[in-house]
Amino acid sequence: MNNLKIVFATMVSLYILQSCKKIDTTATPLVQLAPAIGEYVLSEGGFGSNNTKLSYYNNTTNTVVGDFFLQQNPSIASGLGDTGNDMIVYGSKLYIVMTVSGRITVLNASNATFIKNISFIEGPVNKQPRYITAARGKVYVTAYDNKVSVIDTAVLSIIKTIPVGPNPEGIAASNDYLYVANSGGFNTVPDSTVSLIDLNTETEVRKLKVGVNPNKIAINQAGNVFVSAYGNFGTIPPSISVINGATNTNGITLDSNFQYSHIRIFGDLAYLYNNYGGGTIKVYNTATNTIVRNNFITDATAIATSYGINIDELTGDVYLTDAGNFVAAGKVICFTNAGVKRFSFSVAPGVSPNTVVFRR
Amino acid sequence: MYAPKACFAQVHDTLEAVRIIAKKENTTISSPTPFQQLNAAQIALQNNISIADAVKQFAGVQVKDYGGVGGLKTVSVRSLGANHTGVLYDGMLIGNAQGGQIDLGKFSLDNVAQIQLYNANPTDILMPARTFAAASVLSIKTSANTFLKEENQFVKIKLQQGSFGYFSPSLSLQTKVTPKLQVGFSTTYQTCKGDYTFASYENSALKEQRANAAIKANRIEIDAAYFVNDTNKIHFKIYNYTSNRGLPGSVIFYNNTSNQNLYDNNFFAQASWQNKLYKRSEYLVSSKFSIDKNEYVDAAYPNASKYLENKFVQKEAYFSAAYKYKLLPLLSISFSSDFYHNQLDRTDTFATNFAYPTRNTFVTNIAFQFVKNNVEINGNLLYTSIDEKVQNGKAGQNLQVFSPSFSTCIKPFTNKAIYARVFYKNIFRNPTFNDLYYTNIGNVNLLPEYAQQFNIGIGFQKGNIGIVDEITFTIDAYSNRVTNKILAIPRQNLFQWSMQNVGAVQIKAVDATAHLQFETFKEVNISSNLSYTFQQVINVETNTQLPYSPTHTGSVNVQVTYKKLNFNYSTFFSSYKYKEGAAIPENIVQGFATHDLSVAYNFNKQYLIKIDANNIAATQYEIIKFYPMPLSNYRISFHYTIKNKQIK
Repeated sequence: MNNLKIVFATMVSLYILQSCKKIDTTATPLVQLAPAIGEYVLSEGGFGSNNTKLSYYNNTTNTVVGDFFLQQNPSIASGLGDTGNDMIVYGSKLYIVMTVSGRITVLNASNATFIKNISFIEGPVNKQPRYITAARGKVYVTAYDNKVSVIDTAVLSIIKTIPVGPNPEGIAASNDYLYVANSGGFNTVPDSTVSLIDLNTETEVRKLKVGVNPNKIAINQAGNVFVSAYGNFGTIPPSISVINGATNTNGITLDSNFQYSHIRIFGDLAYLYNNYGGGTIKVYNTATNTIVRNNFITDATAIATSYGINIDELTGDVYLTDAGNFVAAGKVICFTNAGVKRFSFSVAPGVSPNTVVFRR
Repeated sequence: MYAPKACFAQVHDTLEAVRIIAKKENTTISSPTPFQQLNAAQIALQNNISIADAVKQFAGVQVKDYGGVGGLKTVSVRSLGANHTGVLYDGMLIGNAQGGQIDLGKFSLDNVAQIQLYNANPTDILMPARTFAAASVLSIKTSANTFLKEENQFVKIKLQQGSFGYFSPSLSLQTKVTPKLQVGFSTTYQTCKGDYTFASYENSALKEQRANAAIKANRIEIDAAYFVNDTNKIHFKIYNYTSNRGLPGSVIFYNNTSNQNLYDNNFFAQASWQNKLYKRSEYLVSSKFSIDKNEYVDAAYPNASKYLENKFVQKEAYFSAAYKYKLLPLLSISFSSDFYHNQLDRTDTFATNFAYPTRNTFVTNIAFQFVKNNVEINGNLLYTSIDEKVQNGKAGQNLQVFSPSFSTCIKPFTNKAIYARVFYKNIFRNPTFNDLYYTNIGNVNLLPEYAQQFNIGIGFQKGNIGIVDEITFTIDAYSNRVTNKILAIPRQNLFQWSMQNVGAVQIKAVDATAHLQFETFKEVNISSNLSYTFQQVINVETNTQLPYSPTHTGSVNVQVTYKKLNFNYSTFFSSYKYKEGAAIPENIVQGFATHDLSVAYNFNKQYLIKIDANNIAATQYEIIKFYPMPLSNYRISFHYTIKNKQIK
């Protein structure tokens, strides 16, 4: 999550300085985060339904605009497209990963107005971009061409690709390295490695062993890398593996108390969950190696489907997206880090919300 | 509706003849279970390419059309779902244990003599037991099944050329080898590029082209019919259909890549023997073997080989025996028993632990039919027993179920052609092999999905109302309920779905049909068919309209004949409906109306030339969300028919 701090810091400094695009590629010193003035929520919609939505919740007026993208970009009536899978704010820009429409849509982070699309369609094939992260002024995107695409944030185009393993999913940066989860989810036998990429050379150093069908990657304050994996949806359960960030050796899989396919970390606290079946969210202290709570929610707030968790890095508030039955409109519930509900809002007509990012 | 005029003319005669021959040809108004039909003469003059196009004009029918010649077209009758529609081809049911739904886009109209759609089941009780096992029955009869009377040889050649690279030649011939033995051969080749333009979703001022929508298909049918006498007939048939088509998929914004293809081969051989033994006894024995192959290929699948194929082979062996006995002058009973064996093999290398299911189904039916001058009462009880086995994993549930149905029609006034009818039917559909065993999606714990139908209706016929020579009108109100509905619902994430028995559907609806025959005026003959459906299809759980269930649908067809010229106008309309998902404005599929026009000129009895103009108003519409339908398109066809009396 260190890189995210830089991201937010960068954004804040931009917000304060009202700076120009060039600063995106410049390293920015860490400054105190400003409070969030609102949240952008990405709802992926239904596969083949072309109904990805970007919603915006205003923290001052406590109002939500369900289709904020359309409101801010009325000339793009057809919207974002199909299956928005991930989103980050980096510098002054909001990057939305449109897996099925095959592109990254770049918006102004301040008002969600359109800047540019970066296509991932190559000849007759959609490379299907999946997840996104940023480091050292560049944006890195995994895609099903089994490469990480490197995007220059000033010119907003792909300047390089880095070969990794099959069907890469989650990606995170820490210190000198990028970590990429190679799921191999489309192969008969899934993959079970993480590609270690040197940020200086932008090449894969080696592959590290983790659980079967790795999915999400999160990094704690000490720089240790936590990888959640789906398993094979049958005989092999989901798992969490830990890679020592100092040695970057093969991961160690945690015991059967940690059968989770999804992970988010804030500071040293890991939030572990499965994005289906309505199970509870486990809170785990990665520094002390202790389970804080088996159920994050302490006030009996009901959740149908925990689909995504994002954390306000200033307050530690946990924004949980509830996909419900994946058909009706989704909602976002904000909890204090003690698991008490602060507020919630519907993202209608958004369906299956998966990511929340903060506007400061 | 849609009965030929000759059939209506029979109404009075037939009823009076009942006592003598004890066999009553029901008309659309006098049938205890509603039915609608189209005959070859009407089909020839309309704009339809496939059976699916033809049946969409029937009341109560929802055709799910994914667009283009190669697009999937399935038929749901009275909103019960396509899996509840049984399709008979020359009297025998077309099985599909794998998917359950029959793609009616595959059936050409070139050799079709009659299409009939029965709610519940046909009222003839001498039928294979399986005919009673569907909620409604679509019966397709080819010309090979009817006996050539005057002529000894019949040849029909048809050439069609149309928009988007459509080209289709066909040949049908029938010949009497001996006075009692008739053989037939029929073939159609069809090719279509399918690259039609549609208004871009991204910018409606621009046009886009459908990609990867080409189809090549051919059909061959060989028939032999031996007519011992009027009541003793043996019929053999071999059918083979092969197609190769691109699957364009739904329109994805900003991404027009499309790399999926489907190969199909459907083969069957069937034989049936119907004979009247004595005055009171009649039997029908039949059997059928079918092999259905389908091969799906994704040439850009993101796996290690960048390629995915799914190859399935489905086999069915089917035996049926039915016996009818006239117990009393007014009462007949029948007993029929069918056995069929289904198996599904997967033959590609991507299969892991495929179930390789086999299913043995045994259905037995007891039915009665009471026919008096002014009353007809039918009833049946169907017993189904299913035994299922798999090679890997757990098998779907075995099953023993009794299913009843009952129907009656009364004619309250002796001298007026007014009829009132009631029917009730409770039937189920078993989960398909795909429902049970599809990789990661299938669910072996599925229960059968039940469809219960209750219908009341009125039909009447009246002559000489002003310029209308004759009007035939039916109106039916029905209340249906589907329970244990089998639906795919998301399980682990949006790429992981699972089949579940969820919820119930309540259908309340009215179907109305009318046939109008106008007075011939200065050699101008005008007839018209109208149909209309009003329905409320409610998902009981959410109390909202079920997806793809428009409240209003209807059609109007007008045929005008003047000397050798024939004009045909058809319109089909549908109010808005919702796509899958919540019933919110975001998910609305807009209502639409299409207008088709055709002109045919009959040079003499041998040559006919016809021009079809479809969707003449160039309406951009969709039946399934993001599957755009073609704008205006045209076809020209040339028919050559010879009826030869000389050949002996």
